[in-house]
Amino acid sequence: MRINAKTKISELVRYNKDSIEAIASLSKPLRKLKNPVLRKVMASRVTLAEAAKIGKSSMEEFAVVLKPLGFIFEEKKTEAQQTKEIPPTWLDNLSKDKIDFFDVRSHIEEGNDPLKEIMQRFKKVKNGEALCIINSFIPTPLVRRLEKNNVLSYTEKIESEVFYTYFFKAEESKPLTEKQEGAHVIKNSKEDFENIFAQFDSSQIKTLDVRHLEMPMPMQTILKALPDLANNEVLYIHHKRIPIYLLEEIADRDFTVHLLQLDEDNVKMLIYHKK
Amino acid sequence: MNPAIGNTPKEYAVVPFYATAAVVFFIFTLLMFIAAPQFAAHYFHGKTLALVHTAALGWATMIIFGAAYQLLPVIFERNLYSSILALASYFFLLAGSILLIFSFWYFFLSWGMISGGISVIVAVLLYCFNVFKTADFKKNKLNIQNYFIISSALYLLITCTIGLLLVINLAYPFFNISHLEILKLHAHLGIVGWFLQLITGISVRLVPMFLLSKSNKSHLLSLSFIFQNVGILGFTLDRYFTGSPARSTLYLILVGVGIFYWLFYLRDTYKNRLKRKVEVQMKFAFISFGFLIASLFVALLILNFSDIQWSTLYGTFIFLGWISAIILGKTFKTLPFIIWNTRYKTLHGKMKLPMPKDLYIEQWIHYQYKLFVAAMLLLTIGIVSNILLIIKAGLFLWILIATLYIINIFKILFHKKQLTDGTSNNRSTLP
Repeated sequence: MRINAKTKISELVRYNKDSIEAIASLSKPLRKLKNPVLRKVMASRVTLAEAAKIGKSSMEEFAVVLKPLGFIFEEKKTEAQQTKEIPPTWLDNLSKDKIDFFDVRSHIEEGNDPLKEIMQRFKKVKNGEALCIINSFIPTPLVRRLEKNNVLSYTEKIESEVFYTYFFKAEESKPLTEKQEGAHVIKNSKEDFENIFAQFDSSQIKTLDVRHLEMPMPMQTILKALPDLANNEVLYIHHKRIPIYLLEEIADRDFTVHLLQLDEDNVKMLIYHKK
Repeated sequence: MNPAIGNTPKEYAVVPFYATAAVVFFIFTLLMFIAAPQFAAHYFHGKTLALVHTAALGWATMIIFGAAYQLLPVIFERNLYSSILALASYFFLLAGSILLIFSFWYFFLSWGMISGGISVIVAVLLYCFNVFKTADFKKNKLNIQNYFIISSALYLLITCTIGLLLVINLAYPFFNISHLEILKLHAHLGIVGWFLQLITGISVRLVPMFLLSKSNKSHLLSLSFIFQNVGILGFTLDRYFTGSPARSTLYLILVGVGIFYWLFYLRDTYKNRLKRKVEVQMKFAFISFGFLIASLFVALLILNFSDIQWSTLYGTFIFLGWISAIILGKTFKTLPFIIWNTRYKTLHGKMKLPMPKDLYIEQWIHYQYKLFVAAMLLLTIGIVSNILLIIKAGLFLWILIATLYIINIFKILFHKKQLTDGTSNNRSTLP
């Protein structure tokens, strides 16, 4: 299986269960992966790069232990996500009584997923105040998720295994949504469509031609192909018309759909998982 | 360049029908309320005939024409033969309906009835012409599903022709058979020949599409076609030539068997579906089938007992319980798509497109459904026990249903192009 720094741990585990032991052997923090509850909580949210940071290992070390299990490592630029050196102004200006401190370490040790409670507590945080998550590693998936909703965050390293991550609710922050609102359907110009298409290399593209199929086979064929679509893959579809009933059907799933209407009876589509 | 493979027809060939039908439906519920006492009286009364034809022509046939012009290209995979003729049929149907309904309501004005009848027939001829020219009669292309659509068009023509003869007979009697007997034939040719077969034909193409499903049991459809047609034609010809009601139950059973074969086909489609969610539009479809089957039983009652409330109940089940329910559900699976298509056809940008579902208020369809169930319950009880107050309560709920429906329809029709950036800020962009 081809992997890169952005591959989620859960995908590795699904491909080969021995990867759990392999990764856990790399460092003490990564031993947490052997805990099934913690693995369930973290594995689908954490990428290899993030796991490396948590375990303070390098991607090379990961590659070494994973190669014998059949994983082929592909070089892809990793995002540098380090703890910022200087605390931001909003944190400086925040008095301690305006911060809700939540130590999640006991939760995790007991085997519970603290996410629901974290989100509930964050909802209660007033504008201009913050929630501080105390944990033994940087909760990168949480940071990513909340930053999507324009929440400001900052992680402070207190000790080698103690991190304080502050989540600040600015005055005009958007209401929190548990999930991004379903599928994004965009109708592109030829140029834009081609640019988006060019972002994928040929190994990532799965092509489907449904033009010769009789109704309702085009829709059915596309729907059957979607569950097998990996996170980094894209479905490129040749169609006779915009399949509106299909779009409605996947409207509440996390896909991005690009449509290009070349002609009255010539439509191209790109479908991929939302980032 | 590929030959035309079934592109959406022009908006003006479809939208006027939907808009007008919604308005007529609303007026219809008001008229029903005003004429509530009619629900306790015999059906051969000016106001009752006016109500029936408001529902049959101004509401049901009107919207079916619109839906048919939109869907014929999809069903036959060819362009609609003529959008202009479709629009012309709209004007003739509208004029004819208004004249007929008006004339019936005000005690049979002969000039109004006859000119109205002629106008309706012209509309129907235009419709039939469009259907035949759009249909692909090449042997391998014409499958059993499409037979229903073509035969229903013919039945509509026959029904309306007999209708015209009936109104002429009212003004200048020439029938040597009882007027009421011919009226029964006219009504059933319309109900079984036009409505039932049209609904069968369209549903067996659309339901698989909505449910993301497929059925291979087309033999069920062939059987359905045979039984439905033998039933209605047998009934018509037998009654006309022998005047005897003796075999009516037999024909009722034949039609009933035809209906069941159709429903079994749909059930097979349902079982193979990929779509898991049961939408409210489907609930309307299910309950409409319930009322259709119930109508069969009420028809049995009519054949055996002559109490007039069974006839009223029969008409109520057919026009309100069955036909209106289907329309109330299916409108929102057809109209939003054509509006969406035409509004966003040439539009493109980097922003997120709204979905057809965003063009109307889905929640209101749920309210519509609950009101519908309550209304039909009240009407049934009221008609059977002949209590006017309960009938009026049920009819009042129908006014509420029509209000929700018409507002939702116009929300769709007046939808303005917009693209959103996925946040709550709506920004309108135009190419």
